[in-house]
Amino acid sequence: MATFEDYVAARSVALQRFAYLVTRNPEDARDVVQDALLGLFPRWERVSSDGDPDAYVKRSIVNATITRWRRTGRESASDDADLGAVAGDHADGVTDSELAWRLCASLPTVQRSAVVLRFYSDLEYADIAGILGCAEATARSHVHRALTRLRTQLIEGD
Amino acid sequence: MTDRDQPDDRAERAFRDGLRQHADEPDFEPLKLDLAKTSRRRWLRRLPVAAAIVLVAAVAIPLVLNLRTTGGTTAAAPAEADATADRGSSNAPNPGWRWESYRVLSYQVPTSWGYDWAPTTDWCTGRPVTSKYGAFVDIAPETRAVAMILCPRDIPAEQLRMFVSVRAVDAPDRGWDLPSGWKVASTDVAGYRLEVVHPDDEARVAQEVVASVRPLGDVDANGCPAVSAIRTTKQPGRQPTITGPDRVSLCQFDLAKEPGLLASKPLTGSEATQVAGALASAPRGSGPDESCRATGDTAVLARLWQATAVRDVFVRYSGCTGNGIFDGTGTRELTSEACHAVMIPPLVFTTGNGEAATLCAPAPTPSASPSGTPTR
Repeated sequence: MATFEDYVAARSVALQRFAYLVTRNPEDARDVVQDALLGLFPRWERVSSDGDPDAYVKRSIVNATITRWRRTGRESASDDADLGAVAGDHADGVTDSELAWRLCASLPTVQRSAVVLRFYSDLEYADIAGILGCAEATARSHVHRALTRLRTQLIEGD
Repeated sequence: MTDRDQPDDRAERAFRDGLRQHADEPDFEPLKLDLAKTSRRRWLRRLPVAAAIVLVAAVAIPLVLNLRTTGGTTAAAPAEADATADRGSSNAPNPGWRWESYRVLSYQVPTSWGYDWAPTTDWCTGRPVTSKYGAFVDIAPETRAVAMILCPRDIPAEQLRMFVSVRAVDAPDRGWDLPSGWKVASTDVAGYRLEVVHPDDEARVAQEVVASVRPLGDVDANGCPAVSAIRTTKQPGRQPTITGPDRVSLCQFDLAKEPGLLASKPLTGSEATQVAGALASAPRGSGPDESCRATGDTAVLARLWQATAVRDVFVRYSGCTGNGIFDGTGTRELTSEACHAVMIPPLVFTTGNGEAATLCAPAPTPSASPSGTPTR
């Protein structure tokens, strides 16, 4: 079994990248990963023996981000947020990937996390549900609604 | 247009490309977790949390090293215990109030509040919807049985009592509408929503309950951990010897889902002694088990405290197999006395099988038990 120190050395950069995609802020990403790892430390033997410390840390990251955003009122609560701006940018020649990135910014944290877990971490919906603490159908719905929004914008931009 | 250019694939590819391209934008360095010198800015901003983490880390490091050199199996339980042992004054409830916990959050209610079942979609069935306690804490909001009966949405005001309940934000509608003169005060934490259903003239108390909400943290104010090895291991790890506990933390866990702390209850004095005695007096052995294979969906962690030392005992009662009392050194047979000693509201027996269920089913109308009838 790897030591906690080995795990931090090997995974902390990747986890910060994941956290950045969820938080959209590099400093917040470092903070939430640091907090998550500090929370993992006393549980390392049990969590690592279960085989998936990344899932534990990612869940901590998502939960911390949701809590932080709600506390600061920075949560994007509307599915319709920024749609017009995104569409306009795309019409002006923004690439598909940039359009997707901008759309992510307008998603509520939980939905954005589901998208990141699906399309960046390449997780199955059951695993996404486990990390988000929701039903698999809910995780699938989060992703599909985001896809529908992006698909609409892509078609409008063509 | 090829298949890859279908809108769905194009959108998925756009998400994959966009996320991958931007993930590398910040120049992240490997984190060096110097537990004593973590960012001053972050510590200052989150001082209460930081203090708890440093305490866990400071105690956990020597424990981890000690257990590794002596062949111990887990550092989680001692770390949890010591994090609680020196808990700060912020864990003291307001005068006349007590702490309750559920999955991700803790909150305070007046000590006069009881425990009961909040009305659900089956509120019009024979089960009483009123509580003899007046205001109450809703128990087992996600794990209790609900009759397959769809009652009218207009619940009579005279059958409502003020209550607080915590459920997932995306939980189904309760199935009834607030009558005139009633409101809901609420707040969300990490995917869960605390709601206080109250008559208009109790708005101030409702707001105080809402204002008391805080994230659960690693260990709640009643001494229960947010995460316990009870989900993953049959026996607790290495345990200190406890000759006579001065207090007990009763912690009920959902074994199927994390965060799984469903209820916590602190006991002192004779109540604590009674729990310790009931557990210790159970006969050596295991079970009672049935021939089916389900291992149960809830279990109780009893934490026996003596000063700063803690001994964890797992009480398993809800499965076909794996029932019994596990204290890290041996196994005891589940008894009615032991089960009832730990099943004190807000801990509640909701499901079980065969003889174990018979042992743990509530005695007729215990004074502090909810009025509903559990199912097996």
